[in-house]
Formats: sequence, structure tokens, C-alpha cells
Amino acid sequence: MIVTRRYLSRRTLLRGFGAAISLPLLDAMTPAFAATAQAASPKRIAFVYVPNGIIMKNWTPAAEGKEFGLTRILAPLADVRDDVLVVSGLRQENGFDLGDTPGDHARAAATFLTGVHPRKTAGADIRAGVSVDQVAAQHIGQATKFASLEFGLEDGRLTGTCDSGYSCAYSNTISWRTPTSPMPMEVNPRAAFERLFGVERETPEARARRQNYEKSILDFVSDATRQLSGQLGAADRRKMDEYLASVREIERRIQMSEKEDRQIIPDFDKPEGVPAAFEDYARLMFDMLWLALKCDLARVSTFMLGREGSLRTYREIGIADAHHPLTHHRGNLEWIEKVTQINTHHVEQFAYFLAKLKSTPDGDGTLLDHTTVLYGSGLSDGNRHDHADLPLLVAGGRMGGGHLRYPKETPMNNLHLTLLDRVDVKLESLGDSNGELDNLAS
Amino acid sequence: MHRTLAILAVLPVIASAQSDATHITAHRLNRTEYNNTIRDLLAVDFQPAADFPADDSGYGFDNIADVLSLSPVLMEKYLAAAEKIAHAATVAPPLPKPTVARHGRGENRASGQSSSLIVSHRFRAEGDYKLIVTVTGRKDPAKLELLLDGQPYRLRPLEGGAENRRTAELTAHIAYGEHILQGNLIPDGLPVPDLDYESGKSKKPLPDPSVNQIEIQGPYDPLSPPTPESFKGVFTCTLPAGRESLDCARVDLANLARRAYRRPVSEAELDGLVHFIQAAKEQGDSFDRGIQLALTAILVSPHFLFRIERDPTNEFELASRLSYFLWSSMPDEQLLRIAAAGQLHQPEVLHAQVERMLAAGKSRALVDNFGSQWLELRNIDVIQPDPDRFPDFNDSLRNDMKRETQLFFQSIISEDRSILDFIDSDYTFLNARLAKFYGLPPVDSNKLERVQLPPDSHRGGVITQASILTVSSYPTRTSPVLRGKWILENLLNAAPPPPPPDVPNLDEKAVGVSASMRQQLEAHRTNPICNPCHARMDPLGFGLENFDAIGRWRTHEGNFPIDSAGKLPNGKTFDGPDGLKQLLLADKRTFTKCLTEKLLTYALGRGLNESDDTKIQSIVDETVASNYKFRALVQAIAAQALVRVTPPLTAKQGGQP
Repeated sequence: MIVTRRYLSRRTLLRGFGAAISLPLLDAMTPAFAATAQAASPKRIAFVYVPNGIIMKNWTPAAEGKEFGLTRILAPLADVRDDVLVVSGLRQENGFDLGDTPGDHARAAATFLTGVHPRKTAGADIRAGVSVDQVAAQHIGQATKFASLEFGLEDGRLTGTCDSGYSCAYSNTISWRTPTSPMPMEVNPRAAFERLFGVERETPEARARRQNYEKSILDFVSDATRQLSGQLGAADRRKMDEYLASVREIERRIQMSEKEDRQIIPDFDKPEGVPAAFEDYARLMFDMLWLALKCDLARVSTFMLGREGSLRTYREIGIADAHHPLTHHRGNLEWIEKVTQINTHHVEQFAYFLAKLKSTPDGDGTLLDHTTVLYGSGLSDGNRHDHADLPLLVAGGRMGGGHLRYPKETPMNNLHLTLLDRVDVKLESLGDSNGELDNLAS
Repeated sequence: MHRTLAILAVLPVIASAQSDATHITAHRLNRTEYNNTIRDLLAVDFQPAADFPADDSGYGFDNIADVLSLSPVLMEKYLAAAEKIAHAATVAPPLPKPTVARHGRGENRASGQSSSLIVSHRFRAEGDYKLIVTVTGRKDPAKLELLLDGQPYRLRPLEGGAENRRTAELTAHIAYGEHILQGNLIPDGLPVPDLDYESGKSKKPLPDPSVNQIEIQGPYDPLSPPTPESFKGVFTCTLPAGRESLDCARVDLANLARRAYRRPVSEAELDGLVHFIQAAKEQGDSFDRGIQLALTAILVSPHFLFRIERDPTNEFELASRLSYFLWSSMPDEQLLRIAAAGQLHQPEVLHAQVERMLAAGKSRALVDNFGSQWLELRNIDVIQPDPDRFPDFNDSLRNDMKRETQLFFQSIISEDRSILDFIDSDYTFLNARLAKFYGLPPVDSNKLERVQLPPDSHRGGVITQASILTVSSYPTRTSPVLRGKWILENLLNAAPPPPPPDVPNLDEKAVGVSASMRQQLEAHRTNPICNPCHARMDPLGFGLENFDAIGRWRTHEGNFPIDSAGKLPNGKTFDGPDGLKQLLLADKRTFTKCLTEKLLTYALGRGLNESDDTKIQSIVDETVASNYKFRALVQAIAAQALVRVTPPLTAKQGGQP
């Protein structure tokens, strides 16, 4: 396959729009879009992460192109095969140590959506980069109540160091709102449901009154914070800026929900808590994400099936060993088999989510047609801690099915730029990107 | 007075000097601190932070200021929690209507194999309740005994029902609050034969009878619940008439904000809060609603959510440093009063306060937050030992293990024991189950009790406690490497780097079959890449090989006898856990320095650096000189690291130079 790098220059963008608008004034572009695509369904984008790498020989299809065969780990995707594009060969160069010595698990998660080498620190001055989902959140995310949603299946509550000299912040999330503000994962399905749909039913009058009060409370604390900030040093001011940014996001949410004249009541029972079995848990959390997308409460999301370096045991499928130590199989066939089973089990849950999106009508097609989903891990071979030739696939978004292989040095962030392009977010570069991927869409 | 003025005069200079090494970045309350602070501020009885996202940790602790970020989702939850808390703190709950609640075996895994069922229920009001207890299984003659809070309460016959279901019903007058109900079966004759099974008509025998469910209906004729404790903290204004005046609101809010912000509030700040009372009034809402809004605003204010340090001489900031260190919560009235008087930095006052705080029940926070993170004890909640290999491990045992270590740590604080007891002690805390599990003389109690250990017990000190032995093992087997690493990291503060990926294989299946663990790891150590670290880690871990992956004593693994001798790179040798402990005790200063660094990191909520070295040495010296007493260590940290400005000479002489 011939791959040409298509650099997305400012000129490219201007050509595309036929108008002189400068980057990154994407908000300004929105009205133009709205005019051309009045009735079209909104475009959504989701990123799903699995930890500890994948047994690559059981993941990567042998053939390239449309007629690729599903491998053992990908087999659960049979029913949505035509919507699945396996993307091989991409690399997160910044996941490698680059002189920082060990810590590949922390770096795998921290680079996955950022393409930025995270600063090695156990606490002071954590720093990664803005992640692709948060770029999307700043643009298409502004049209919905939640600019973005972050879901996970593992609380970062463990003690001890997370990965040799790296703060746990790096392994607990893949989403970074700013280089210094990681976005935590919501792990409780009940809490997720309550965030989406509210804790209790209210009359429109009661809701309006509550929201008015909330606005004046937020005004009050914003004023107090601005006064305070003037008296503080740089590090403290950064904390206050983060606080103010979060307050503004809540204010935006209140404004968004004021536009709705009714409370959305989903046809779905509120979850009771966290199901014990992994499969039930993962599917319930995917249900929450599906509800959010379906009700157009969010268009951007990230979902971690496990924290990087996860020690979960999968007893329901007969695996009593912790996941991470198993991935250091060192060629042991029995361990490789167990990791393959875990990898497959993860894809089964993902397939459930895709099937659910596909069975949901949306605009001129299905919800899957209008949702682009990236699935993958920040490590390929977990045994050797490899950040090259990453296991990645893109589902939905009318990309068409297939298997594409790119040259080995191609940055994964080129894929991120292309995916942003697919949801009409134009960005010149992100992290270490050096262009977009060609031939990605059919 | 003159001194205070003099300090105030130089204040702007100090505050503007950003290079001040003693400054700590604005510190967001973590989940535990938030819960505890709300508890102490408003006495509302729920855990509002349960739904907050997990706090990221750094340097092994989750109270590191730099890592505690504030995402939009957390802000959203702060606002929702503040509204809920403000409501609960100011509005008396209505008289509850009767409802039905059912508690079954599923929610209480501790019931396990026993025929009894123990459940906990929060009774929303004093009143009459109807209790229906269901028993399933073979219909052996039996009576149902109900215990209320552990005391025998009623005995009732069982009424027959469909299938193998029987019930007992009773009505009881029960007081407000949380109560524990226990249903026991008292046999009342010989078991009935299972004719269907014996004749082969049914393939499975009927299960033994057991209490399956307790249903609670009520309350009927409820009495008003007691006035919530929280009201006393909110409504302090005692002006007799016209309580709903703005003056009164000002008094209430000044008091609330002072405690919530952990410092006096300015008139301007107060004006802003009182404004909410008017805003509510303009909307036609009540005075109480106005108080609620102001309280909500207080609880989402950065002055509440963050501990912000602006002035090294500020005693209120020092009070917060102390209280969040020792209590993981806000300063109490006494601390605030002493801070207001400007006396907290005085050595003898500070000393007395630290003693008082350690003696208070709230110092349990030091065990739950510092101790459980230092010792990695929190991991015991999530670790899943392989049930096929360790069928004896269950949630009750898990809980006992955790409690043993917590009570042990607590005893070191409350009895002001030597920190060397962490390495080796002649006592521990056991109940009947844990004593049996350890193979020690029986203990006749379900509650953990302090037990003197026999000389040959091989137990004593944290590294021989089942909790620590379990969290430093894999779910399927022990790992001398993990245990060695645990000792290096947590007792010696000399963490080895993680292994390079793709090192040669440790053949797990061969362990105990064709080779011992030791032979396997020795082969591993012949690799020059692995050797430097493993030569340090493995021998320490081998010293604990007599304990299996859930901490039970063993003398063999598979076909091989356990060899728990160790030889360190420096040539020192030892044998077994007792020898290992002696080895660790031979270098008391290294352990003292390790614990000092861990505790100091936690106390300051930041990582340590070279500029802390002198201070660390001095704290270690003082601890060693005080016979390694735990409280001496805490006192030294408070006086030398939490106090930011050396007191002027007017203070009493005689402190450390």
C-alpha cells in the first residue's frame, strides 16, 4: 500500500472552506456548518482504552485491505466487521523512555491520546499534553451539556507507587484537559447515570429556580477566586485557574440545560451500583455511554476498560492471575493464552457497545454511523513494553471496514488529526503529529 | 503584642518572596479530608465524597497538593454535594412513612456457611416495626432467635410456608438510628430425614436450614427524630425574637464561614454571604433557604475546598497543617482559639496540642490514611487470592487481617510505643478466626483482642502480619521479589528500579514440582542485568518464604522444604523471619529515617528534596534520642517542619537549636 503524508496546512484548511478564517476559530465555523448540514445528525467521537498491551499475533489480521480475516482476538467483532477498520503500524514515540528509564505503563496511558512525553515526576509539577478528546471537547463538545465524558472500570484508589517514579495521575486517565489537568474517570454506573439525568425529578419551575441560585453561587465564588488569585504565587494561581475553568464549565452546563424545556427521562433503570462480574460492569458502563450519545448529552468521550498496569483478575473466564504480571509472559505459552483470553474478553464487551450503537436509529442511519470510535492500547507487546505498531482499530463513523498498515515510523497522532477531521475539527498539529493519515476513509 | 506587630510589618516581604521553601501549593481537600471536614463542620451523617472521582496519588500518598487537581466533573460534584449537605444541615427531615426493606444473605458475605444472618439497618425514626424473618432449607424442627445489637431479644416459632420456606413474625419497638439484627436458628429436635434424596427421587439433598432474609416494615406510630446535631452548628444566633433578621444571619454565617475557612472572615466576605439571604427573600423563599444558599456557597468556595497558605507566620495556617496531618480534618475550636491568640507556634503550646490531638479519637485518621498507604494496606481490599489455591480466604478473614494491622498501628500511637515495634513486637491483635489461621493458641472472641505472642510464634511486627504478606504476593503464589521490594520501599526507603521488560522467564509451573522457587530465582539472578537489584530484593523476600501467599505458616512448598535463609550483597546472612527482623533491627537509624521521610511527605503533602535533608537528619536525631518513640517523631515533625517561621527569642527557651 502506498501511503502519502498529507500535511494539513493552513492553506489546506482555507481551501476546504473557501473562506479566510484563521485557526483555531472553530466556534466561528460552526454556524457555517449548521447551514450546510441542517438535518444531519451530530458527529460524535469516542476513545476506548485497554491496558497492558495485546498479544499482537492474535490481534493483527494477516491480510490487508477490505477482505481481511478476523483474528482470534477480533473475532467478537464479526457482526460489525464492515464497520471496523484495523489500523496497524502506528507508533507513540513519546511512550518510549527517551532517556527517562522505566515507566512504560505510565507513559503508555499518558501518551495514548496526547502524543506528548510526560514529565517524569511522582507528584510535583505533573505535565503531559492536551489529549485529542479534549481538543474535540473544546469544539464539537460545546454543543452538548457535557463537553466530554470520561468513564472507567477501575478506581485509582490503590496505594504504593503506580509506575516507577510516575504519579498515579499518568496511569489513571488518558484524558488531559490541559497539560497539567488530567480528567478523572467516572467508575460508578449509578453516579454516571445521576450526572447524565439528574438525581431526582423536578418541576420546570423548581429547576429554573435552582439553576438561578446556582448561577449566583458560582458568580460569588468566581469573584472570590479572582480576588484571591491576585495575592498568590504562580503555583497557587495555576490551581485557582484550574478551579475557575471548572466553574466556567459548570456554568456552561447550566446554560445548556436552560435551553431544554424538559428534563430528559431515559427509558433505562438507574443502576444500583457496581456489578461484581467484569462483563456486567463493562456492559452497564457502555450502556451509560450509549445513553449519553443517544440523548445527545455528550459527543466526546473516553472510556478505560482498566487503568494502565491493571491488576484485575478475570475469574469469570477462569483467570485467577492478575492481568499485568501475566502480560510479562516471557514466551510462556500458557500465560500468552491467558492474556489472549483477556484481550478477547475486552473486545467482546466493545462489540456489545458497537452492536448497541448500530441498533440505534439516528438521523439517516444508525448511531454507529455517526460515532467514530477508536479502540486500542498504548502498548503493543506488553511483555517487552513496545510502543510501536500499536493495536488500534477505528469503528463506526462510516469509515468502512478493512485493515490498513502504515509505515513503522508513522506517529499515532496523525490518526488523531484524521479522526478530528472526520468530526469536522480542523487542527494543524497535536503532540508529535506530522500530518494526517491517507486512505483512512473509504 | 509588639512582636505580632513586628511580624505583621515584615509580612508582605515574606509573602511576596516566592522562593520560600516552606510554602506548600494550594492544597485541595482530598476525599477523606472532605468527608472528615464536613463531619466536623456540620455533623451530617453521610459520606458526601463517596461519589467523587478518586484522588490521584504521588510519592505513595493521595494528599499531595501538586497532584490534587480539580476537574469539571469534580466541581460538578462539589456543587451537588454542597447543595445536599446544606439541605441536610438545615432542614429537619419529615416524619418517615412506613416502607419495606429486605436484607438478605447476598449483602453480608460474612454470613458464609453459618445458618445465622446478621444485618445492619438504619431505623429512620423511633417507632414500631414489623419484622419478618425467612428461613429456607430442610425443615428441621427449630425456633428462631432474634438478637438486637448483639443482645438476645425474642424467640419465635417458625411457621410453615410453601416449598422449603418458613417464616417467623414479630413486632418490635425500636429506637432511632443504626441497629444490628441477627437471626439465629435454635434446633428444637432431630433433623428430619431427607426422604426424596435417600430414595433417589431427588438428585440433590435439601440444603441445611438457614436464615435467608430479614424483612423490616415500618415505622408505625413514629416519634419525631431528635433535632439534628447539625442545626447546632448552623443556627448559633440566640437573639430571642425576630430570629429571621439579617443581623442574626450575619452571626450564623460568620461562625460557619470562620470554621469552614479555618480562619476569621472579613466583613466584606460576610457581606457577600449575607446577600444570599436577601436574594432568597426576593425570590419569595424562606430565611432558612437563604442560609442554605450561603452555606452552599461557602462549601464550593476555594477558601473551603483548598488550604491556601499566604503567610508563613499565620497561626491559622499552622493550625490547619496540624489538623490535616493528625486528623485529616479541620482544626477544632481549641486549635482555632489558640491560633487566634497567636500562641500555637510556642514550643510548649505546640507540644501540648500535638499530644492532645494524638490522644483524640480523630487521630485514627493517621492509621487509616497514613498507615494504610505507607504499608500498602489499602490494597488488601482489592486483592483477589486464587480461590482454588486458597479456599480458606474469604471476606471475613480479609477484614480480620486488615483490622489486625490497623489496631496494631493504633496501639503504637495510643501507647506511645517505639517505632521499632513495627519491625518486631511481642504482641498483636487476634480474634478466634485469625488465631486459628495463624496456628496460634485459641482466642475466645470474635472481636480482635490484644494478644501476647508466644516466643516461637514467628509473628510480631508488620512483615509477619497476614495483611502485609498478602498484599506483597501474587493472587496465585508468593513472590520473594515482591516481598523484598516491599521491605526495601517501605521499611528502608531504598526502592529498586522496576525490571527491564522481557527478562528471561521464571517458570511458574516448575515451582514446587521440578525446582524450588529459590532454585528458579537463583537461575534468574545469574543474568547480569537482573542481578544488581535482585541480589538486594530476593534474599529479604526469601526470609518470609515460610508464609504462603495469604500469610499462613508453611514448611514445604509442593515437594520442597522451605529454605528461608538469606545472604545479602554485603555478605550478612540470616535465617527465617526471626533472623530477618534481627537484621532489620541491627540498623535502627535506616528504618527511622525511612519512616521519618514517609511521615514527613504525608505531613507536608509534597515530595521531599535535598533542601529537606538537614531537617530530616535533625528529626531522626531527635527520634533516636527519645528512644524511638512514635510521638517523639510526630512532635519533631510538627515543631521542625510544620512550623514555618522559627519563633523569635521571646518564646520560651530550651527547644532544639
